[in-house]
Amino acid sequence: MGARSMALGGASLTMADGWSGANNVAGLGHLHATEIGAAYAHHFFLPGVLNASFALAFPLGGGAFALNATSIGYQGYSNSHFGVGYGRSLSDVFALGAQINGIHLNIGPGYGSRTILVGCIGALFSPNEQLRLGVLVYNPTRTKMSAFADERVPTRFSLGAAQQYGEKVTLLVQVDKDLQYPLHVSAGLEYQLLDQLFLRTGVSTLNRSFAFGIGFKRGTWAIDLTERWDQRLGFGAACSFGYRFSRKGRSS
Amino acid sequence: MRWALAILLLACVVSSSGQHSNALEGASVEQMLEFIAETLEEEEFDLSTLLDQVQYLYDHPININRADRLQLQSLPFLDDFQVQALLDHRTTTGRILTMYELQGVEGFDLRQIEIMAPFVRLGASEAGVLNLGRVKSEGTHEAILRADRFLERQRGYEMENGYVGSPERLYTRYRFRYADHISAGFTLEKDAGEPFGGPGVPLGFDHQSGHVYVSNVGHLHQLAVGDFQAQFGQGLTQWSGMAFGRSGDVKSIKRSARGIVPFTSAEENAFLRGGALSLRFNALDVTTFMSRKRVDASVDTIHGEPMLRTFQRSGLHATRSQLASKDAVGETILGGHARYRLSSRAEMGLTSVYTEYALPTLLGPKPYQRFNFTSRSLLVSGFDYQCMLRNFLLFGESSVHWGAGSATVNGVLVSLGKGLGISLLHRYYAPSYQAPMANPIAETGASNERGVYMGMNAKLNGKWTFNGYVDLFSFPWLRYRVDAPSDGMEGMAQLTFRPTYAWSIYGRVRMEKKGINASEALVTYPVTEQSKTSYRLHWQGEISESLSIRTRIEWAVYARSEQVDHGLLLYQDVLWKPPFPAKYGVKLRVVVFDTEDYSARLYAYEHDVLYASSIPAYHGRGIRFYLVFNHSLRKWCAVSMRIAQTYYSDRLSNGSGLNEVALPTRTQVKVQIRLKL
Repeated sequence: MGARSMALGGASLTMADGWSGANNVAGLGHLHATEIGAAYAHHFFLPGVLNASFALAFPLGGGAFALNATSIGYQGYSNSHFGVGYGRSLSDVFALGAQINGIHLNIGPGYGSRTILVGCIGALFSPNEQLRLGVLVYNPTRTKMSAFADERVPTRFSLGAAQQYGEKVTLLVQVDKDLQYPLHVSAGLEYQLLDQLFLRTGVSTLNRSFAFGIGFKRGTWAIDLTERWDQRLGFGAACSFGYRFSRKGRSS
Repeated sequence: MRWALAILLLACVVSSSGQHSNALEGASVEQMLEFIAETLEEEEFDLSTLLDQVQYLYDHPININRADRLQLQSLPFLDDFQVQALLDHRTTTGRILTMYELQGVEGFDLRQIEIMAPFVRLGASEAGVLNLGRVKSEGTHEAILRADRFLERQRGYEMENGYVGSPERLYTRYRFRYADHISAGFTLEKDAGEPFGGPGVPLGFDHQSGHVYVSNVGHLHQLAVGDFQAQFGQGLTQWSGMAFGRSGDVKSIKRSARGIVPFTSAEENAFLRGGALSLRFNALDVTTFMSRKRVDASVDTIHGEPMLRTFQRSGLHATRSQLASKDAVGETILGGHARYRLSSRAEMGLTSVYTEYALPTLLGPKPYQRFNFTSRSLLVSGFDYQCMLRNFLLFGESSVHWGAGSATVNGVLVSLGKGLGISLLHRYYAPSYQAPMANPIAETGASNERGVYMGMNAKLNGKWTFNGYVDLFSFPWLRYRVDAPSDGMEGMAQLTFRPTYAWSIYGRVRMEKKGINASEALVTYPVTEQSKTSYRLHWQGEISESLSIRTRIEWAVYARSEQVDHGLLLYQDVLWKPPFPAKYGVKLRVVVFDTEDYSARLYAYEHDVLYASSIPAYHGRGIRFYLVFNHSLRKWCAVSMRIAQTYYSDRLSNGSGLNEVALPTRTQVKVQIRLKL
């Protein structure tokens, strides 16, 4: 979730930032300052697939708490996600997190709406300074959405890796397996061109898409812009804003 | 790409001179050729045009203290970033004194320096003088005589309406060269089944080609008389000859055009015949060229008027119908190119090519042929650029086919340091863009295609390397056997492990998905997706100074609707090359293959005599071996022999049509003599 994740082809499982609650809740274990973020995405430039998201993460105790919300849709169909998560580092190399998500689904006049609770569990493992591995299981309980045709909320298993490449480059790769669909692979690259300027690109086999993004980071502010091209559905774009509250007596 | 090619030749050249050969590196170019073979579905390549240059560089190393940018770019293993770094280094620190000094230049490591060492020297930095005495004493002559044939009787030689000529293929080539200033030579070839001699063929050979070429003499940049090739920009307007496309090397998506180059190949279509002149005024190069020749085509008579139906590109003239379409239509090409260097890091060019055929073209009745050009003449113009900004190299070309359509291709190479490079390329070629001389990066050709490519090379550490790319493409209009607009993807990922200098192993997955008509029509043919995935494991290494081995196993899966076919290929190579003073070398391969259908066929590079190479498509079930024997009789004379035999265990006869042999075996023998003065 967020424009940075989209620019990296969605290979965001190993990222630790304000969006961790939505991407991989274990990333909260690496968070040292309060961060807020807001993102807006317009998929395929089609009406009805506007997507607004909000995230907040703040350190608490030995770990960090996260609140996040995202919503997509229009009058006839809308889908909202609210998450509350907590993650913490259990050692220098290992972090664990869990999140409860409330999904609110509303389908047109006549079908009504429904709210379902699903959970997810994530872990991050950093064998060395350069490499970080991540895993996330979303909805392991296979929560039922509707009794009709035994419809269930998708269950997904994701594995990801991020490798630092010198000072300025990070390579990311991720595989996602949704129970219903074939495995898909995503990969991304982030390059710090200047101190405050990041270039990103990503590719995903999900719908066959490429993404390109640019990020500015200045002090406590960050702005990310992303353009995504999907082979069959065309272009889409996203932007996100982030703000980090500097923490007294502690440098991040 | 270029550097992989060099290494292939390095392996050939160095081993023939008795030094330590780097057979490991040759493998990367073999892979590239396999890529081309799979894309073009061609099995034989004449690499002479490409490899000549590298061979010559080996014999006459470039003085890197004096060489200009173009000369440095002709070094096949240097990319644009390295050339720039080398020039910058020379400007700031002056003359380079030892090769190891290059380790301090960005982009060079010890391994690269070792590979390039045979091709460069560290001379004085002032220019030499060109005079007739030096041309005579330092010029080189090279001649090649080659003959090959199949031993089994093919049906075409026994039929009334079969092949006209004899089953031998004969090839002769001569070339004189002096530095990069003068080249002159001829190439003669008779393909298998072609008649020798006869009316209109004074020297007997069906394909005859010759050239005289002068370059880099004062303002005269390039001058060609006879047969030549012209390559400009990114190949979107004009590019004759072979070019490499998407492959494991991310740099191969950017073309480095050489302008006018002599044509020395036995390829019978992709060349120009006439004259070309290029002049250089400081930052500006101006080139004009003209070509007039007859090309093979089938001609129909409609309402008493002859009309061109299709071009015949095979270059084969072995049957009566092939002979009837030989040289059936006149082709005139006029072209011009101007190139301006804005700075040492940026340049741009303009190309215009006018093509005229003696006959109008008949528009085919099928919907997919709708955009084919029908006028007798067409004019295509293009603008190309390249520009290096920090570690970004931007390049591209945009062209317009006047009165029809336009096309554009743009890309960027990014060098991220520490052996990490990525490349991105976007292309859009309108269906109505029909440039007959274009040969850009494409899935199918310079028309009716849109695509985005992304590739990456990464040295993970000293021993592990990753290469990969993804190309997503779509076809806005119909294609042959695809009755609807369609799309597809191609991807590759390869991981190479090199535990020591002498051993390497790689695993590779390659996948392609593309539309194709369903095998059964409803009212029309619905378009379905076909996919082919291949998995390969390949290892190779040097057992001793004389002996190296290569082993490969590859498995392919082809799927289309309900149909699924599998293919398997295993081979073992043994390369025996005793050190000097022994003067011979042997290359042996045994291949076993088992494929359920032609669609699951597998390709593998095969060693051949110098300058020849073949990448056969293995299909059916059987075993194949070949043996290449090289012997240097004298310093100026080398003999090569090759015998290759395939035995099919799943059939009693092999081949189809005129090539059919009423035996389960097929055997080819080849002899080559190479003379060098």
